[in-house]
Amino acid sequence: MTDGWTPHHDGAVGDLWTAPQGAARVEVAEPVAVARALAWAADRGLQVQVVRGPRAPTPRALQLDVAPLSGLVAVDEISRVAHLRAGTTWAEAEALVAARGLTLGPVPGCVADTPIMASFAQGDRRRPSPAYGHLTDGVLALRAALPTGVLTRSAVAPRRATGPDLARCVVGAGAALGLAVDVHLQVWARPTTTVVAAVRFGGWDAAHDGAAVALGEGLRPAWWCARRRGRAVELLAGLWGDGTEPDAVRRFVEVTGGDEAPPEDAQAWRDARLDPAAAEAWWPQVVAPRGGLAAAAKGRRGVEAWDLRQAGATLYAPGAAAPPFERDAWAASSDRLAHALRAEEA
Amino acid sequence: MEDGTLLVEALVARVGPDHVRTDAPDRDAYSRDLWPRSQLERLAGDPPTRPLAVVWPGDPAEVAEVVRLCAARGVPIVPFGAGSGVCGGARPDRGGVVLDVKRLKALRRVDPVAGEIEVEAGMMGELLERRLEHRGLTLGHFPSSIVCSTVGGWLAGRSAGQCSSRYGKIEDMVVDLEVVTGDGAIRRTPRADALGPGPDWNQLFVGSEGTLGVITAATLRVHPQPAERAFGGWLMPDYRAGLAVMRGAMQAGDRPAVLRLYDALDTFMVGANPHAAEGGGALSRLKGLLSAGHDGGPSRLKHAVLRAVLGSPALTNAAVRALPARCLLITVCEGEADEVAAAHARLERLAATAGGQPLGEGPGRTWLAHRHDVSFKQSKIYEAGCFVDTFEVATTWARLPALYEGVRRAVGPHVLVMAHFSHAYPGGCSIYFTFAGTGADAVAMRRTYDAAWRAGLDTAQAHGAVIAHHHGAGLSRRAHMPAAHGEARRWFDALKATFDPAGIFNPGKLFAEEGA
Ligand SMILES: Cc1cc2nc3c(=O)[nH]c(=O)nc-3n(C[C@H](O)[C@H](O)[C@H](O)COP(=O)(O)OP(=O)(O)OC[C@H]3O[C@@H](n4cnc5c(N)ncnc54)[C@H](O)[C@@H]3O)c2cc1C
Repeated sequence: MTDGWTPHHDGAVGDLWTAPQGAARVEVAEPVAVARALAWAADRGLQVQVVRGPRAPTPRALQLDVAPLSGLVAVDEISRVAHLRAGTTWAEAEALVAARGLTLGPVPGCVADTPIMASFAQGDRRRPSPAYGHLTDGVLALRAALPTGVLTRSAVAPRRATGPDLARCVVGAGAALGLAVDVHLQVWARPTTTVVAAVRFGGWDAAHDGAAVALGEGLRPAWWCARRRGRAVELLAGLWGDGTEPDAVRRFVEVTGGDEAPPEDAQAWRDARLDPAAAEAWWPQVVAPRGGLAAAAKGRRGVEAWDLRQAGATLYAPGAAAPPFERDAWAASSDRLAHALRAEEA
Repeated sequence: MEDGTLLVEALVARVGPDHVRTDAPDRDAYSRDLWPRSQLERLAGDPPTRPLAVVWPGDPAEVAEVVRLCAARGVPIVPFGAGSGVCGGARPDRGGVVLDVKRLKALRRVDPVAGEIEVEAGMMGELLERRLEHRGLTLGHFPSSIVCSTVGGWLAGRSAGQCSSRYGKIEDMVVDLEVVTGDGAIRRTPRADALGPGPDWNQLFVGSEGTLGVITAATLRVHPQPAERAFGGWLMPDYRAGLAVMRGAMQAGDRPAVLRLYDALDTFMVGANPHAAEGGGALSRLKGLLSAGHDGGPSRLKHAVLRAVLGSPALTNAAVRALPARCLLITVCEGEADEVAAAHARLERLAATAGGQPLGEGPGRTWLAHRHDVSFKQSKIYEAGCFVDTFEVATTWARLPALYEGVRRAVGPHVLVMAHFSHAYPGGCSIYFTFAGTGADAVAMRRTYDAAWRAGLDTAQAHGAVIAHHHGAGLSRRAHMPAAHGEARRWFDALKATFDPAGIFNPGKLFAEEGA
């Protein structure tokens, strides 16, 4: 254990460590322990941080060490659904399903060591994949612990119409409304072929248009991004397949309408960009609308476009910190919602 | 009624006398939606609760004003699209004001480059598709009720169109929403692709069935009109073989627009089974009774026969088991030529492997041509002293067969039941059950109807399925909602306290009110 912590026993949460300035830390091995810990932190007005392994104390925060709450509970091979404890990191999760011949889709290095629970809490959008969606997209069921100390339940199904999708309360809201404790995620057959295509365009918006045409034609790369190369902009794409499309690169180049470029360093470049070491320093900066990519990229050094969609793209800047989110009109609603959740119990 | 009179005067002052109605015919017309149970209640002599008034605001500002006026007096508001809901969601059971959004019908923005439109909530479905088609676009949302439902109703109930396997359900199409909440504020949710903290507000308002606010507009994703279509039809050896084809296509990453598998009885009813004669004459007659036989003419005898057949559901369902197990699978692939060809070729391979007998393009084309011929013959069946209804549930592929068999077994003692499988995803699919029954009188019919629903939803929950895939919860599933959500209900209560502190929005829907 890192210096500064003193062991304690608390009737409500069991064994925990405390440190000066209201810092606390607890290991959780069961979903119900997360619920108890959230209630404990809420009673004391502490922030909650999801961590794996020892960390230095953080004032006025409860560190929830979720390392013991990890593992694959089950895989439904027919439906291709993996039931995972939410303390599992994405890299662990991918290794666990890979052993069954399955994949979650590409797991970028920058999220590899992040517990699933933390990704959901952050509303992490650092795995923009046309084929597989964001990491938090393919959810068939999500069980959560609430700050009121209880656990939710959810049937496992691809879609539902039973009121609002209440589980979305824990996606992107920190721990204020609860935390995911286990999730059922869509998994896929592992690809048998993975190739990288590189296509060169005259500028950002031309590259984006090429990507949009590819989407319209039904092409779904496992990942793609656009980077500046001198005066040109290069669209790079990871094409995963089952071997039935031998000319995947040629087709991709044709459909996007740019000039084929040697993919050379593309895979290595991508991996370096998404290296775990870069995780903290690699954040989305701005969402640009379709046709507005060049304008948004102007004046931003080393910028890359990583989430190319029909309607727009997200620009990332390596080396930049996460932008401080402004409190928008909805922030007050978030606060009121969290307050209402607590007030109800009282 | 002093308070009511004052409120009506205030509403008239704000939205104009032409747009507030308190006369009996309008209040009657707005006292129900298309939930079949309302029909049984009427037959049993239970009058529906009529609203105090029906209001048609002309823009979001007027919606906000109506909300403020009602909130100040604690008067319930029931948002109303086109009233095609089949769960009682738009029924004003607590009286109050029905707020019809149909005057909010502008297509505010069409951006073909970004693939987005902004449309007001009262826009009727078919009108929207026609206007988009004019621009070479499609929303890709084709519920069978497209001619009689609104964009707001789709969003409020998490609707699914027939091409959902390609374009998604309505919740998959949402970019952002404009909503009037209980404080009378007109609010815009953050875009689905925005960066920023906070829960996913879009997915919390979508599906809220009028309980959290009035949806006044939405930005939705649209697509180019498909360049190509390929139709497929197969007679599969049984429903499991059909499910294997659907699953194989979705898990390969293809997105056929339509994958629709009818069970043996439904296959027989759509007349696609060349071996139908094997099913016997009694069933052929039943088919005539449930469908074409109700178009008019002397029908007393037919009514009596229908009642006799539906009055012995256990026997009739047993007879159905004598039908050949073969099931019709219809597929439609659409999009650009290459994608369509590849997806259709895969379906052909999968169907052949699963023992499917190819039927050519015919069944798919016929289905497409008639896909909006929704049945308006319901009341004829009620006149015959019988009822029909449907419910749709969903689960993972692995659990589908047990769910299908289990629900049929549970519902079978009460009603005649058939089903089709549609709305396929990589992880699972929905089952759409249709059932028909009867009773000695209206009260007995209602008892049987309730027993069938209860048995169906209890069984779905026992199998770990969701109790609604696209019709919503409204009143019809309310009793099963606590078990469906468990402690997640607390989030709903907190949302309600946050956005509807006066508790005026569609009270008693989704969940029963405390103490009710
Ligand atoms: C023959 C037939 C076929 C059908 N086929 C399908 C189908 O294929 N797919 C499908 O999904 N459904 C289908 N339905 C069900 C129905 O059409 C859908 O539920 C539809 O979404 C309801 O839309 P509406 O505009 O009629 O809403 P309404 O019935 O008026 O309202 C439904 C619910 O939404 C709320 N609501 C309506 N508008 C708003 C708003 N602007 N803001 C907030 N809340 C609002 C109401 O309060 C109510 O709770 C069918 C119904 C029929 C009768």
